Amino acid sequence: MYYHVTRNGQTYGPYTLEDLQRYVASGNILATDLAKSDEGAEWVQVGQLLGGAFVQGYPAPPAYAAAPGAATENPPNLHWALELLLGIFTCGLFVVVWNLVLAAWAKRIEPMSQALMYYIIATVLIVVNSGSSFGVMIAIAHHQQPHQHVVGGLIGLAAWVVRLIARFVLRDTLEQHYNGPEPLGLRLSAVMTFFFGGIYFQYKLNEINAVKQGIAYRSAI
Amino acid sequence: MSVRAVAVARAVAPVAVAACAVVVLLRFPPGQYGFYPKCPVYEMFHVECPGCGTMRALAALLRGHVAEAFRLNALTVSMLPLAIGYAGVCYRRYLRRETFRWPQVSAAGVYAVLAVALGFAVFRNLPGGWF
Repeated sequence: MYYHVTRNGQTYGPYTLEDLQRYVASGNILATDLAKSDEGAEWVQVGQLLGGAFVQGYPAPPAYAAAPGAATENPPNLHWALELLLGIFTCGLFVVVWNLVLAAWAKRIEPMSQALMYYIIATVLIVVNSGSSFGVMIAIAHHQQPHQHVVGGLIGLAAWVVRLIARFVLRDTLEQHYNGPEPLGLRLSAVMTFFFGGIYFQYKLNEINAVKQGIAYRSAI
Repeated sequence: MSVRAVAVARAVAPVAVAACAVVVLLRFPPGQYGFYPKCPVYEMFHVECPGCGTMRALAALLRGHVAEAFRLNALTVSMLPLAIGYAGVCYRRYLRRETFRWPQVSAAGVYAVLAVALGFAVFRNLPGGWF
C-alpha cells in the first residue's frame, strides 16, 4: 500500500510504510505530518499511522520557504511510459489530448506562452483530417470505402507542420520557465523534441517533479 | 440547476461517456465501419503496433466472442483488467474532488508492461502470425 504525505498544502509521495519509517527515523518526515493511504479517505498523523512510536521527541514542523513567484505549479505527474502505452492503445489520441493538457499547464506557469494556441490549431487540423471531411462522411453514409482527397492530404501536412511548431514553442516555454522563475537547469534536445514531442517533455517533467520533491523536503528540514 | 444536480451530472458524466463508447462499438463494429481512427504506425509502415486491433478486440469482447478478441489483440484482452482497475482508481479520485493526480504505479511495473508490449509487437509481426 502506498501513502501520501502533506505539509503546508503540498503533497508528497507515494511512499511505502517502510519508506515512511525510514524517513521519520532520518527526520525527513515529521511524525506530526499528515499522511493518507491511496485507499483511505482521512488524513492522519504519520506518527499515528506508524503506531505512535515516532510521535514523541519531534519539534513542530518548520514553515516552508515562500515559493519564488506564484507560477510554480508542479508539472502533471503522469509517468512518460504510461503516456506512451495509453497512446499506443488509443491510436495516438491520448497523446494528442495529453499535449493539450501539458500546453494548458505551461500556459498557467508561463502566461505568455503560445504553445496552447498552436496545439489547439494542430488538434483541430488532425480532427478535420482524420475523417470528418465531407467526402469521407458521405462515403461512409453510403457504405462506400472513403478515398483520401488532395485537400485532406494538405490538411494532414498542415497538421504536422503546426504540431512541430507547437512542440518547439512548448520546448522554449519549458526551458524559459525552468531556467528563469524556477532555475532547475532544464535543457531539452531539439532532436528528441522533433521526434517524440509530448512524450519526451513528460519524461523531463517526471525528472523535474522528482527534483522539486527533493528540494522541497530539504528546504523543509 | 441545483448543487446536487450538478454533482450528480459530474459523477455520471464519465460513466455516460464510457456507455456511449460501448454503444458505438456494438452498433458500429470497427471491422465494418471505417470512421474509427487508424493506427498511424500501420498507415505509415504497414507494421502492426501493440495496439493494432484493440477496438476490434473490444467490440468482440462486448459481443462475448472472447476467442476472437484474443486473436485480434491478445495483449489488450490480457491487460484489460489492469486498465479497468486503474480507470476505477482515477474515477474514485475524480469523485472525491481532490486536485487530480494520476495514481502512481511503480516505475518497474510500467517498464515491464512496456517491454511486454514491445515484445508482443515483435512477435505479432513475425512470419507465421504468432499472435
